[in-house]
Amino acid sequence: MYSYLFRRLLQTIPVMFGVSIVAFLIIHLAPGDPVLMLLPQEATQSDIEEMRRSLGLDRPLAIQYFSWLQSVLSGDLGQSLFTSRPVIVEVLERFPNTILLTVTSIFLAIVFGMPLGILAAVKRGSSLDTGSMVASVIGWSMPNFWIGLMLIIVFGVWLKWLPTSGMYDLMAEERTLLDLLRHLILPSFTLAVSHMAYVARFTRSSLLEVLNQDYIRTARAKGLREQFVVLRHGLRNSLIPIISVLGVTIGHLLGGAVIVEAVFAWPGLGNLMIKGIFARDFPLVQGAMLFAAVTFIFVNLVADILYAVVDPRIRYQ
Amino acid sequence: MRTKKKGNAKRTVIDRRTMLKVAGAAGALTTVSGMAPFGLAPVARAAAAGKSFVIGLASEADGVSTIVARPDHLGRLIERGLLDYDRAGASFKIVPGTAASMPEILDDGLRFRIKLRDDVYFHDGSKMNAESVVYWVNMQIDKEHPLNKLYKWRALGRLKSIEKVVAVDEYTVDFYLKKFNAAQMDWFTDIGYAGGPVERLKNKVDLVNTDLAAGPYTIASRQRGGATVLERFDKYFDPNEGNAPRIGLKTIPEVNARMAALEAGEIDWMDGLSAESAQHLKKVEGLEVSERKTLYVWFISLDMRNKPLSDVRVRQALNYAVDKESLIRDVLSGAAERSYSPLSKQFGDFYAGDQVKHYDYDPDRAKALLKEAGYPDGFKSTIYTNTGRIGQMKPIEMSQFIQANWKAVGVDCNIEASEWSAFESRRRKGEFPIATRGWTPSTADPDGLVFQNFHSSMVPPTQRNVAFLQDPDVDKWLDLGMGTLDMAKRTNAFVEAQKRIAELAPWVFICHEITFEAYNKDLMGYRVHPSGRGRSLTYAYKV
Repeated sequence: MYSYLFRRLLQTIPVMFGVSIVAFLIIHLAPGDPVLMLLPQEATQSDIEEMRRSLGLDRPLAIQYFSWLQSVLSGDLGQSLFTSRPVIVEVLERFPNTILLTVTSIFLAIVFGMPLGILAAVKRGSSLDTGSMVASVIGWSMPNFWIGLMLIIVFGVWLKWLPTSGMYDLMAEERTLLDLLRHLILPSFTLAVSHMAYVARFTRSSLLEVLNQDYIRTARAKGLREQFVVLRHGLRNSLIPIISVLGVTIGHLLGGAVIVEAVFAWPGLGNLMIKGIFARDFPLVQGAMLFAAVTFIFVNLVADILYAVVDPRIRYQ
Repeated sequence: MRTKKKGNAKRTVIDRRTMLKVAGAAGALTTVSGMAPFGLAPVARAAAAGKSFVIGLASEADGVSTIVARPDHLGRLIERGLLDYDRAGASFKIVPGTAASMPEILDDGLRFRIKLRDDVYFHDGSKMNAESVVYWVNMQIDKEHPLNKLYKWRALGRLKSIEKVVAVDEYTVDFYLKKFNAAQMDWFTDIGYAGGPVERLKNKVDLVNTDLAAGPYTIASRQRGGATVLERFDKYFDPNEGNAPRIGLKTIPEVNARMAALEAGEIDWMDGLSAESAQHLKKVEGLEVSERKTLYVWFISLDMRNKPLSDVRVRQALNYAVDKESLIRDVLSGAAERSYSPLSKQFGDFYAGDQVKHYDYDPDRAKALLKEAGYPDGFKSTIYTNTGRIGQMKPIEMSQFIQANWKAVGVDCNIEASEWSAFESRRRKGEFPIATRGWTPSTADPDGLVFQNFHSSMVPPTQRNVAFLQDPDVDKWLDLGMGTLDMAKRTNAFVEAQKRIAELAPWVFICHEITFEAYNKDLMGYRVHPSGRGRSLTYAYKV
């Protein structure tokens, strides 16, 4: 187990190195120049060149990359060009908000997706099965910014049940948990919709496979109640592929959060990245991308380890 | 966790149950850490007339001081310059801000004496005096100043006229100019001149994120990610301003979501609306939609150095050939005013639209002029434009409309659109014979727009006259306008310059943008300020 862990950790090094190159190149090769955005409209060509020099942007790309990498390795993600604050501070301020949104969405995806999948598997071929699978295809296909806007219009503008944006009521004297939850409902549901569909479909197919196994027949033959057979013997054994799906899902959720955070003005990492991208804030975008990638790698590592925990038959030798 | 014996060796094994516990604990920890913003101190109450309100913004301020960051709307509410554009009257008229009166002009305009009010406080509680202004200006312009190297100063463009600044007495400051600058009064409205608390500055306080301004509102809380609350600054000198106890600034990047928040009553004011969005919001009960006419101009520059654009008849023909009214109606949904010269009506007395040559849509006249110039079958060229950016309207659609208009008179153009910064860096070098551009003047003095774009000394690669207009008459009027502080003479000079410019047609004059603001009908005391960014919101309050 420990040697497996060690090997997996070693494997992440080249991956992170690759990620750092991609994060650096994507923003640097994209057209656009932070210097033109930093300077007022009247700035002259010499102002522009001086600014470029002072930011080190006049150096060759490879040199810029290695000097960035060097500071990243020493734990310094640099400073935002626009807010003049350390990138790591900016990122760590927003990251918990994104995690809150993502964890809630996973929770919703499991709570709604799994029962739907179980029902569909148990009532295979019924109209319930067809209906839920059609619904999940629709849920999976709809772009989440559109779902978000629709939810805002229905629950925020028409019914006025829920707030349309932000994390707390801005002008409230106190920030309460209830207020946070009210603000969390629409964005987390929006983010969860497609994953609910995904989890439902996956649970259905995985459970169906397990339900055809011999030991399920044995369980039924023993005279166990069907509920017990499905949930205790069937579901538990069908969980393994679902865990691996959830690991990947977190990556998707982190990506999807970028859009959902922008629509709902959720103060998370995605919103920060969008702002950085529009302003061509190189250090901020590089740092935030690297951070998100490391998180994703780490989550997948945890998912791999959880396999062994959930299923004692799996051992990493 | 348990200890297993295998032979004689002891081995620690992590069993399933422990792993699950650890995983559960880690999950709980991350969820709880997501709630980190809890326990933020509630905003203190302040006494003032009227109720608080919330404004919705497209992007978050990246700092709080205009001299080192771009606080935009936030800056308009918390900062105050020595002079200011009239907020109560919602115009570009220059009035005293933290100055006690308008500057005294000495030494034929080479020295400006400003008397400060003696009741101005910065938001850290310290009192403003002459020393605070001197130190503030010096830290930006004096390369030997201990703070000079700490920041990239954004106001330097408006400070470049200053030779030195001297405190005459406790509340009087003399500004010595390097050379005469007719736009200096306007430049004094810039926060680059505003002053700051010397003791705090000396301690190298973080200027980007510390509110040291002297305006009617001060920052009560600022949560990164777009939630800032301001409260009335009780030591502010003017009792007529700061009528709402608090103003909330909520960043909602997506425009449809921002509109929904306005409809839902979560925000009370928003700007930057397109004509289509404004039409939609006009139908919503309880909302008011106002148009804001701007200093903005959208034009096509024609490089006069080479044939065929070197012929004035060709340039005039290109002006006659464009149906400006239809373009504004069909492409811009009416959200613009036709432009006759570079300056819009918002420039007040400098406006010359009613005196310059008009190029009303007349394709026959355009054809005749082209024929006269030796191009009876027109010619081929390219319209260079950009793929769009805030402040450039709809460059591609507008270019396509103009392309069709020109084709009708025989001028056959391709359109080449590139990304903004790539486009702009080539445009600045004067590489494009025909290029589109929108220009937002940063002050209401005609100097910025007219002088930079049309004076013969202002040609690329270092300056902005990309039409390469080099006309002695235009120069004469611009030099005259730039050489006096006598308003009557200045006005006349700039009007005459515009007459000549319109005649020479270095640009195809298209339009001045109109933008829209929408707000709750309960928002009182607010007038749309032509400079935008909610400048007059300092007078607003909710009932």
